[in-house]
Order: sequence, then C-alpha cells, then structure tokens
Amino acid sequence: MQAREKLSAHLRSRIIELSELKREGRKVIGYLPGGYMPEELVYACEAVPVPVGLFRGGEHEPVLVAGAYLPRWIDTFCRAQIGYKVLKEEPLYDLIDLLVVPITDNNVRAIADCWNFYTDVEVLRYGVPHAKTENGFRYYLEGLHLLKQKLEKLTGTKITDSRLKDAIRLCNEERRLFQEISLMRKAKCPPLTGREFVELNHASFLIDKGAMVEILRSLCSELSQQESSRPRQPRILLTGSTLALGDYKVYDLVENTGGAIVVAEEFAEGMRHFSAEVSLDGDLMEALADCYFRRRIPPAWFRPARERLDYLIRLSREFDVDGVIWYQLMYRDSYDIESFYFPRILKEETGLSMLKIASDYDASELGPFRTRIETFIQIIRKN
Amino acid sequence: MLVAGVDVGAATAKAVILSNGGIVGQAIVPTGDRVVTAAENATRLALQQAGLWKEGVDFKELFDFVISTGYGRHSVPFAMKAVTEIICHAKGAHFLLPTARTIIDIGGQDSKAISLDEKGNVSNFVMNDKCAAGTGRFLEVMAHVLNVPIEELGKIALTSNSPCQISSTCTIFAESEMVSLRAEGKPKEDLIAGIVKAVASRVAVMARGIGFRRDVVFTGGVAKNIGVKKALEEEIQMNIIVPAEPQTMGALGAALLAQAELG
Amino acid sequence: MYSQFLQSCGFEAEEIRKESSRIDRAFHIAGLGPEDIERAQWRIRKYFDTTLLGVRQSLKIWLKRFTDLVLAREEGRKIIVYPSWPPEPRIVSMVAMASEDVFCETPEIVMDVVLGQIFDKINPVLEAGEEHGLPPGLAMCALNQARLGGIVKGVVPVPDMTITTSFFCDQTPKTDELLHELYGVRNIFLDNCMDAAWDEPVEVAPRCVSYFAAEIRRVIKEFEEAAGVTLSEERLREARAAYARPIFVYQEIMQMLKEADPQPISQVDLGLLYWLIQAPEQKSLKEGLAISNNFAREIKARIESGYGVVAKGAPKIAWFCHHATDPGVMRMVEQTGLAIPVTAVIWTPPWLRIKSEFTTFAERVADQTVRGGINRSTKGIIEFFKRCCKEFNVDGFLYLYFFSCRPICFSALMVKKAIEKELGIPVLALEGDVWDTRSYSVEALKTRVETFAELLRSRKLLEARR
Repeated sequence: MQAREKLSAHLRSRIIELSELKREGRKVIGYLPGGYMPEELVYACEAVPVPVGLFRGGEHEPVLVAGAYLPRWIDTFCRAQIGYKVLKEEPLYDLIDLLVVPITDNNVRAIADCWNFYTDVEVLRYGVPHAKTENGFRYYLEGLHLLKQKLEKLTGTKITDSRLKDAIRLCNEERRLFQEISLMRKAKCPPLTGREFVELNHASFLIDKGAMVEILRSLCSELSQQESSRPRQPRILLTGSTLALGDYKVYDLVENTGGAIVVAEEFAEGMRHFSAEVSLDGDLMEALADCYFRRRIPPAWFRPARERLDYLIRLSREFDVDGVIWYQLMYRDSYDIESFYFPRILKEETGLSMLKIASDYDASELGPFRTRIETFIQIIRKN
Repeated sequence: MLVAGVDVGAATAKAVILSNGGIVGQAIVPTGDRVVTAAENATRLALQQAGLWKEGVDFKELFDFVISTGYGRHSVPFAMKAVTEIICHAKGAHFLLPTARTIIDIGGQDSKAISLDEKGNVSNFVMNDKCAAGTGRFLEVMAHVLNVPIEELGKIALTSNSPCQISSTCTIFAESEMVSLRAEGKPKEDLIAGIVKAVASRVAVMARGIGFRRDVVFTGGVAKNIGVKKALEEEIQMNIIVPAEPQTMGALGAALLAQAELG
Repeated sequence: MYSQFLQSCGFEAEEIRKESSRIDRAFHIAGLGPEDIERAQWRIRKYFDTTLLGVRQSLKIWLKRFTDLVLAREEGRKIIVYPSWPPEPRIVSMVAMASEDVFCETPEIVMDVVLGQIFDKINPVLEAGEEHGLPPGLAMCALNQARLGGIVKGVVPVPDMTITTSFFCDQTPKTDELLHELYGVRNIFLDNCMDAAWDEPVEVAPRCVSYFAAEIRRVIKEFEEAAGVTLSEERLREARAAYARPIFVYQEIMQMLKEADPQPISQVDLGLLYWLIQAPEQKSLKEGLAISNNFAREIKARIESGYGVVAKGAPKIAWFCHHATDPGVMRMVEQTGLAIPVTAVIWTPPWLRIKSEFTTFAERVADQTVRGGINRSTKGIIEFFKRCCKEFNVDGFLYLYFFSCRPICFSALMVKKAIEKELGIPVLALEGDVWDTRSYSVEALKTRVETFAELLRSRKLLEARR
C-alpha cells in the first residue's frame, strides 16, 4: 500500500529530521503521551512535540535497570522510563529540551520525579484533576496557561491566536481522519487489523503532522475502496492503561495466532484520542481545555469510574464486539481495582466476557498470555 | 477410530488414548528437559497399556487425530492441533462428571479455577502461574525441609488437631516461618496441616473470583493429596469430588476434543 | 466475663459494669472469643507498658472506639461517615461535629489497632478484602483491604457515605468506588493535584491552595446536602481547634524525647496515643487531649528519674510512621539498641507553625494541609524528612516505607540518597508494611535492622574517639 510505504519511510528518517530541526534552532518538547498535553500549543510556537515515554515500551531490560532507582511496586511502563533514559539506547530521550508531564496519577508522578532527581532535563508539570468538576476544569486550564507561558519563553515565539488556530485546524483534521478510519472497523470485515491501526496511531505521535495528515488522507481513500469477504472473525475490544510503541505482543497473540481481530481500543496512555475536536470559537485556551479535559474519556483514576465503563459498554455495542480484553501494566492500581468489578457490569449489561492480562514487560509472560488469550477466544467463539 | 490427547506440563507429561470413544490407555511420565521426548514417551507407554504399541510406529500415521495441550503444547510434532489446558480440563471433567460446574486444578507450577456450563464449555477461568504459593511447588519445598515424602503429606495432615497458622503469603518466607515453628517444637502433623491449609487458602482466594458452583471437581497432581482436598472443602464449605485419575484430566479432554474433530 | 482483661485496659469497676454488655456484643460481632481475649491479655502484657496511666487510658479508649464503631448502626446512629487515612481527618472532624446524628470513624485504623495490635486477628479481615476486590500480588494497600474486608465480614457497619481525598492516593478512592458498587455507599471526594515543580519551595503553593480551598467548600456543601445538616463556620473552627490541641501536646512530647537520653518510653506505647489523636470523633479527641497530657506528665517524670527503655547513649534514629498492626516491629527495633525520638509523620515542621497568610477558613485549612510537605510533592517529602532528621539531630534514618503505597514507595530511594548526601547520616530504606505483617514480619525485618544498628553504633564509637 502506497500510504503505508510512505509512512515507513517517514518513520525511518524521523530521528535524523529531528536532529536537523534541532540544529536549525527548533525546540524539541518531550511529553508523556497520556492525552493531557495539547500538541497544538507546541506547534503554535514552532517547536516539535515528541512523545518521550512512548518509544519502545514492552522491553524488559529498561525495567530491570530501573530497579536501581525505584522499587518494583510502581506501574511497569512508568518504571521503564527512567530505565530507557539511563540506558541511553534511545536517542530521542536525549534530544529533548523540555519534558512536559501532566500529573495524573502517582505512577506518572514517579516518572516526573525520577527525571527531576536523576537527570538534568528540565521538567514542567501541571496537575490534571481527578474529576470533571468546575473547580477541576479551571485548575487544568490554569495549567495549560502555565504550559503556554513556558513554551513561549523557551522558544522565544509568541503563541498568537492565529498560530494557535492553524495548529488546531491541523490537529482537528488529523483527528477527523482517524475517526473516519476507526469507523471503518465497524464493518463485518474491517479493512485493517488492530495492529495496523495502532501502528498508525503511534506513528502520528512521531512524524511531521502535515505529512501524517497527507498519509491518512490517502490511506482513507485506499481503505474505503477495499473490499473483503473474509469470514467473520471473533471481534475484540482492547482496553487498558498503556499501549506503548513496540508493545504489540497482545495484538500478535490475538490477531496472528489467535485468529481474532481487534476492532476498537481504549487506552489512557499511548493512543491518540480522536473522537472530540477542538472548537475554534471563543477563547482558544478554554476550547483546548474543554476538548482535552472535559470531553475526553477519563482514565481509571478519574471519578466517577462509571463514565469510562459506560463508554466501554457503548463501544462494545457500536463495534459489535464478541469479547473484551483488558490489558494493563502491573501495579497500575486504579486499573486493577476497576478490573475487578467491571466484568460483572459488562456481563450484566451486554452478556460479554472479559479477560484481564497484566504485563510486567517480561519475556516469560508470552506463554501464559498465549494460554489465556487462546482460551478466551475459544470461549467467545462458541457464543 | 484411534485418537490421542497429550498434555505436556512443566513437571509431567500425560497421554490418554481413546479407541472408538473408550479409554484404552493412559500414562504419566516426568517431563524432564525435553518436551518432545516426554510427549513421545507418554504416548508410547499409553499405547503399550492399550496393547497397540509396535516398534517403529509413526504416531502421525497411527492416530486419526492427536491434540496436544499444556505449556508445551506447541512443541509436540505429532499433534495436529494445540488447545489450551483450560479448555481440555473442562472437556475431560465434563465427560467423567456431567454435573461438574467448577474445576479447581492445582499442578506442579500453577493453579487454576474453571467455571463450566451444562455443556462442558468454559464460561470463566482464572489462573495463577506467577506465584509458587498455592501450587505443588509450595508442597515440594515444605516436604523437602521437613524431610517427609510428598505422597505422605496428605495422610499426615489429617492426623492433626490444631494446624499451625502460616501467615506468610510468599513461599520463601513461609519456608522460614515453618522452620521457626519447627524450632519452637510444634509437632510435625500440625506443621504439615498448616502447610496444606495455606495452599488451600491461597487457591480459594484466587478461585473465589469466579465463584464456586456444585459440583466442584479437584484435578491436577495435588488433587491426590487428601489433606489439601479436605482443607479446600473447609475453605469453600462444599464437598469436592476427586476423580480416580486427577492428573490425566487435561489429556483426556484433549483426546475427547480429538475425537470430536473426526465428526 | 472479661473483667480482668478490661481492667488491664484501664477500665474501672464501675465502667466495666456499665460498658461490658456493649463490649461483649461488639466482640461477638467481630468474632472474638475467649481464646482471643486470652491472647490479647498476653499481648498487652508483652508489648505495652501498662504501668503508665496514659497507656491504660489509651487502651480503654481504643476498646470504646471499637465498640462504638461496631455497634454504630445497631445503636441507631443515623448517618455513618467513613473518612480515609491519609491525609485529611481535619475536614472530617469538622463533619463529625456537625450533629449527634453523624457518626464519623476511620474503620481501618480502629481495626488495625484493636484487631491487629491487641488481638492479632486482623488477617481474616485482610483476606476478606483480598477476595472482594483488592487481590494479593498486586501491591494493594492493606489499609484499604481492611477497609473493605471489615465491611464484607460484617465487623464494621456499611456506611452511608465516604469522604476521602482523591489526590494523594489512588487506591482509597477506587476502594470507595468499589464500596459504592457493592453496597451503594455514597462517595464524596476532595480533590487536589500534587504537581509542584521540583524547585518550588515547599512553603509556597498559592495555585494548589486555591484549588484545594475551592474543593473544601464544595465538599462541605455536598456533605451538608447529603446529610441534611448545616456546618456553621463557628463549629468548623471549633472542630479544627479541638483536633489541633492534642497534636500540639504531642509535639511537646517529641521535643522532650529529642533531649532525653535514655529514651524514657517505648514508641509502641506512644503509638497508641499517636493513632488515637487522629480520631475524627469529637469524643475521642477530648479524651485524647487528657491522655496526651497524662503521657506528657509521666514522660517528664521518667526523664527526671533517668528511667529508660533503651540504653543510655544508644544511637538515635528517625522513624517514619508508627506501625499500625504489629507492636512487635518497633519493639524489635528498640531491642536492637536503637532509640527512636521522633516519628516523622506527625512532626509539624517549623514553616507550618507560622500563621497562615490566608484569611478565609477554607483557604487556611487548605494552606496548612498542602504546606505540610508530604501532601505536596516528592520534593516536599524529601525536604520534610531531611529537616526532621536535622532538627532532631538523629544518627540515622530508619525509613520503613510502605511498599504498597505508591506515593510513598517510589520516592524511597530518592529520600535515602538525598538525606545521605545532604546530611551525611546513614539511611536504611527498609521495605515494609505497617498495615499488614504477613510478608514483612518481625522475623523478616530483623536481620537488616540489627545490621543497621551495628553500623550506627560503630559510627558513634568512631565519632566519640575523635
């Protein structure tokens, strides 16, 4: 497929591109891809956003290395981040001028603290409140203003309304295209696998936004012309805490060896949210806060939990799902507790079953995960 | 029609052979280092029991269908299909006991609880394959420290009137805890009863997540330990059935599924 | 029937007559029988110094608190509210004073001290919590396992509502949501963000304070609507002052211990007082003040007479938080020859003793909570411990951190490094759990503590020789 080849080429050359951009004096802003830092603000001051903490999750060595800095009882993905930095194998981690960490739960706070304590990188934090109250909205908005001021200071470029509007338009376009592709997965034979969609989504964090939008446009038309008459495979909704770049083992087990297909995902970190767009009317900062805070599906550390759980049920129905797989990292406590009572609610309201898998990015997990996934797919196939 | 089910676990490999739907042979061998050899040995022994073994026989030609299960299921060369041990256990238990609705399986390295419907299909399951407490390994470690053959643990446990309380959740810590209790002079049967109770308790906590519905069937190597059976019954407040051959349940289920493949 | 036991817990004959049927009923509900009483009797003799009036009075109040809690629903308390620990019992003590109909208590702390420390029978409650939503193997905080397990087992009543903070800790709010799913309990959450910049001074947090103050106002309103009561500002101030008084006395006790050599009282005994004065219920607070004063008086007398529970000249360590479920742990530490003058978690740092700049009630409360340090950020935690160790001039810091508490555990190694580097004193970062001793028992921790004690002793010897 033409679009996909283009994408691969972009990905391959991105690290060199970024080094060149840096040489030209552009600032590279690292951030946690948890969906609470509006990329629009970074683009509006001509800096480049780079999702540190998205690159190469799923490997065990950084987790091991992190043991010298953190006890093991923290979310694995969050632990891995200081490991990657210290191992120095990932050039992106050394390219950034600033690390932006929206503070969500304690596991994420651990990342910010580790970087502050053990490295020289400057870290900017602002809190994300745990409930969508009026107070919370205002606090988050203040945080965005803090971010805006910091970015302007760092880059020496003012974030004018006009620049911000351009950035918002571009990001909205990307979101709209993702939404369009995502809806194609409702079909009886989705034109792309779950893994392909995730790789697209991950790529959108890494490469130039303009190029990404182009690729998405041509991919959209390629996919809509595709026709397929494969027999219906068991359809899975995959939900959880973090889906890091490189962590595709669940997709391999479900879609390759398992014979099923993932038709929808819902993750707190690592996946771009695209169902809401930023409004261009009125105060732009408020519009950003509204889209990124209010209208975003809340992760498990938000209260009340029902908002997210109801959304998952709605998603299961809309995508005609046969089963839900809950994939989280170990010790992400908010997710652990929700995973206990959600299966009962899911069963009662939709009749669907749920499989929970918790990973520690350990190679020895593959066998046990495979057993669970294969068994689960067998179970839901019968229904 | 000749079919076989081969279950290659971490500690033992099991084979069950069905001829025209009836069990004609079964065998259990230690897995050792090589999964393939263990699978072949178990199958050979089962064939010998059935009187069907011939030197130089090719399993692929001899059997109409072979299904493999267990952690080594993807490495059995003469199997035509690999199915997870959970599905197979359910099938095997349902065949022997159509009233089975919950299976508790405690093996050498893992433990599982499975919920079945009336047709023998799995409706829910939960596994522990990360932690040694609540598996046969826990009993092995303790038996070794106490210098008691593992086959006698159950019998001895039943003679105790006041089992020791072992509160450590980790096998390593529980081992030290038990050594201290022994040094305090606690009688052997009380220590063993405490160990057996600890295993039952860990498994019950894991299994409670899917609920206990009658009839409850206990399988796996540890099911042969009558002390664990009794302790489990006390934990869940229900009677538990242990089939005559609790260790070969998975292989039987695999063989039944192989039978079903032939229509 | 248990008159001897009650007597050793400070009950007078008249009180026993009055209270014993209630206590008996509470014990029955909690599944405590004659062998448990016998064991408790033995444990009290072994671990607590009942020659001290303060200790006897504390034990008595604990049993009363336990009884009040277990029987709250039966005895017709209309609105039962469970706050959390940590970190904001202050708000809740205000709530507790709202009306006679409101009963406010932290069930997990009461169970930990009574069922855990006194009876050594907390494990079944923890297991019940494990089976109903907070399984083992996932580093789930045992405080929440007790909270959930106590309700599941019917030891403590199902509350009408919970009021908890939703920022320091993620597990307690999720446990409350679980209580909502299982029992229909109404949840009220008090939110904030621990997003201080790393180099932001601990004493300053205007943005955070405004948000927290707005939340406090919102929560008070929400509670008033839910409970059908009104909290006048006067009562709120009264409650806040009532809460602060025994803590003030405790600070004075800590100052006494700072100067004292040998250590005059075991931290196990002080622990009974420490957990007591954090009670949300007004009754316990009033009695807590009297007990604190008794403790202070008795400790002063011991210092003057030179009485010690640890040898004179023993190395002094700072300790993080009193063990809630097993007195054996801190007793073991003292027996290895380490004096513990300070438990950091209740220390009021100097910058908090300055009057708040804010004028409105909600902002003053918010300011005090946020500026405390531990609720602020990791840097705040590090600064807090550093300054505490410095002020008390300790020889080392034995940091028994809660492994299952995300906000505390991840900074453990950072705290160790920072204090070792900036104060030059050894730090033992000891992984443990003060809410559950199943995996971090006295035996499991002993070797490390003994080694640390040796290390500190040899350092002290070296210094003396110089």
